[in-house]
Amino acid sequence: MTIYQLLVKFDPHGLHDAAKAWTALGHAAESAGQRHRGQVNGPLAGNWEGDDAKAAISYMVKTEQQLNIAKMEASTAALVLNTVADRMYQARTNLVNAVNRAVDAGLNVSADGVVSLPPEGEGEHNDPDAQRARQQLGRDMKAFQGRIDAALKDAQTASDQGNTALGRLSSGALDPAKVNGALAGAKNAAATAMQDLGLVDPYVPDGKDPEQSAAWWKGLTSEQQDAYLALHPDRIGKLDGLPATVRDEANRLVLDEKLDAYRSGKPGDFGIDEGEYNARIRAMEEIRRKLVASDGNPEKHQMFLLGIDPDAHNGRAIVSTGNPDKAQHTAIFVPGTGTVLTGVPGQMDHIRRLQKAAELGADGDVAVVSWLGYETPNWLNGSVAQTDRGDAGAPLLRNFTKGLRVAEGDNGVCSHLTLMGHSYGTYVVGAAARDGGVNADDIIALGSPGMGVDRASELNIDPKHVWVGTAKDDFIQTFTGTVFGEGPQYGIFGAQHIKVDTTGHGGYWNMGPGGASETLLNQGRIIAGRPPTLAPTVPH
Amino acid sequence: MTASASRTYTRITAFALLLAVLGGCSSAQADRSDPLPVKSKADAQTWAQQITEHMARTAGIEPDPATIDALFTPCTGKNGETADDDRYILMYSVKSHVPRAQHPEAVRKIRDMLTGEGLTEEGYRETVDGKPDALVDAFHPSSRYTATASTAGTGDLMYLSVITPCLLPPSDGPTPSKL
Repeated sequence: MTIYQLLVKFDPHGLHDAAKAWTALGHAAESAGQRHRGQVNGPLAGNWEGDDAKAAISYMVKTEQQLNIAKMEASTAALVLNTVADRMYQARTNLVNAVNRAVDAGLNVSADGVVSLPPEGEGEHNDPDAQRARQQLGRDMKAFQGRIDAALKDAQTASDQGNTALGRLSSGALDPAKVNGALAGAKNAAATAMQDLGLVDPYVPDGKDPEQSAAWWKGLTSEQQDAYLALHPDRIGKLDGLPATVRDEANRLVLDEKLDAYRSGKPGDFGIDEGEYNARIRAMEEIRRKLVASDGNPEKHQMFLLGIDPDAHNGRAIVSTGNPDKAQHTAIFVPGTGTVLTGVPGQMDHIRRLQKAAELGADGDVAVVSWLGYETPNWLNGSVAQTDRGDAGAPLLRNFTKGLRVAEGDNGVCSHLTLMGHSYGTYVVGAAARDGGVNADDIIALGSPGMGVDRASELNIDPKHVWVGTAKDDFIQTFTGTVFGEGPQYGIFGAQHIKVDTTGHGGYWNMGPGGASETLLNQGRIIAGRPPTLAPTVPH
Repeated sequence: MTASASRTYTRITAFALLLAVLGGCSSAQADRSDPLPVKSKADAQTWAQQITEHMARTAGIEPDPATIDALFTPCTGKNGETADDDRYILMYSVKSHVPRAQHPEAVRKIRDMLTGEGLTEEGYRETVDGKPDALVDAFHPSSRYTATASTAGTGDLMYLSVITPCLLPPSDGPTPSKL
């Protein structure tokens, strides 16, 4: 059978059915992965310790990696098959249209797709008008032949590209002996397969408008969503406005891919020294361990990875304890100077304690987010004394809070939202609130050098809901009144002053040898929408 | 002294000791450089439960066992670092249904008991905007835990909680952990 005959008879349903089967396999791998996380790895990782546990958990991590690979390869195969089916069906449509138009024009089309002129009729040879018409028909014949040939070529190209793309995928990626690099290899294979099909840059919103991002996501079919999640998790995981569960799924895959790439690489691959390289790996492993350990908890105490980028200057990680799309009270904590990726595991413990402190007095569930979503300054290079990093982070924070409102709105929730910052993070919060509002009901500033305004009333929120805490011996007070604006600890700023019984600039959550603190309890009360205990205002 | 009065005296003495002693801490003011108190997670939870039960009895309220919640988290340093010896903090709480109007009186009784037994009052109130909305936060200066009794939410619930300082589990084997 010739290619022409094959294309004329082409029925895309076969390829689409095969794609459905691959999609179902991807779903099965995903479902198995979720059950494994929630019912096996999560509960065990949170409650099982010792050498046996280490060995078993390492094996289970490998199992989840293989399920991720299976999901990625199945999604890629499905996308390839669907794309080839659509392109070949388009080619068939073009072919059939060309053939029908040729026949309508009076041309002959052979069984193998060759267009020819009909025999001359009697007397036409000596009829000038008939000859001119025949010459025109000859030109049409060439044009129709060109359309038929183009359709055949398109179909052949689609078939060849699909063949090449599918050849990139290999069951060898699941080789249990392959410890590091398997996920990165599968990711590269999928990316190359997409290049084979010319799908190198699929449309994904730029993320600047959470409502638009959410609308785009909801407009995709579930198969399309699966393909985006499997093949472009780094771009999906960043999109403010998408459901927390979607971002979590995408970012956990990104985390696994990054961890795999780091483990199978060397410091020079990432432009960092060995110390930083090892520190990033340890941080990613610990973040992953804590995520998995929370998977066995009820959803209100599970952790959601809403952003991750270990390669960014100081690292980026956004983690929530509790689902912020469903909680009645949500807090977003913005850390300050010197906070980097290696501090994120500690931040995960920190937000869990804040959540618990808030749950004590809250009606309804509580979620607390640690938002390391901007480039924090450090103490040594002078960046801490400038506002540029905060000014750059402010619109990102505003976008995040807007995205949170969009995502929770899809669940019919309008949570009581608290935005809280520490140190330089309070400037980020202040700048975000000052320049357009942050959709927050309460703002907390702890150890603040200034919030970019001189009065709480400039933060686009009722000043009665701007809460400031400053330890008596916090050195940050010497920085206020500079480029960061009026010191929030002074009465003239016009904020409420919570009682602080901790010491130092970094002690606002002091739960270490110094013991528990009133400061922490007061933060929990504000997050829960409850009044904290107050301190006298410091005159200015 | 009657038998009943004797039992009451004995119980008060026992709880005074309970409130004061945590993992071998001395009664003197603790120092940040002191060794961490050693206590298993199970013992810490039992101890926290006993304190909240004592608070409840003092106020004449009934804790709801179904609402007990114990959160163990690792101790973290200033930069988020954690030690590898499983040191932990316990945040323990239990709730109780108490008519809202009775919250100030219940909290007042608990405050008087706690401060009478050596804890420092860190926060206290009986009303907010003239309506019953009470709390007491009290800190034990040597054992360095915080005990709280408070109105919860907008209804009749109260909560009783104990937050421990950083504790070190005994080194003779693993203990359950929970994030």
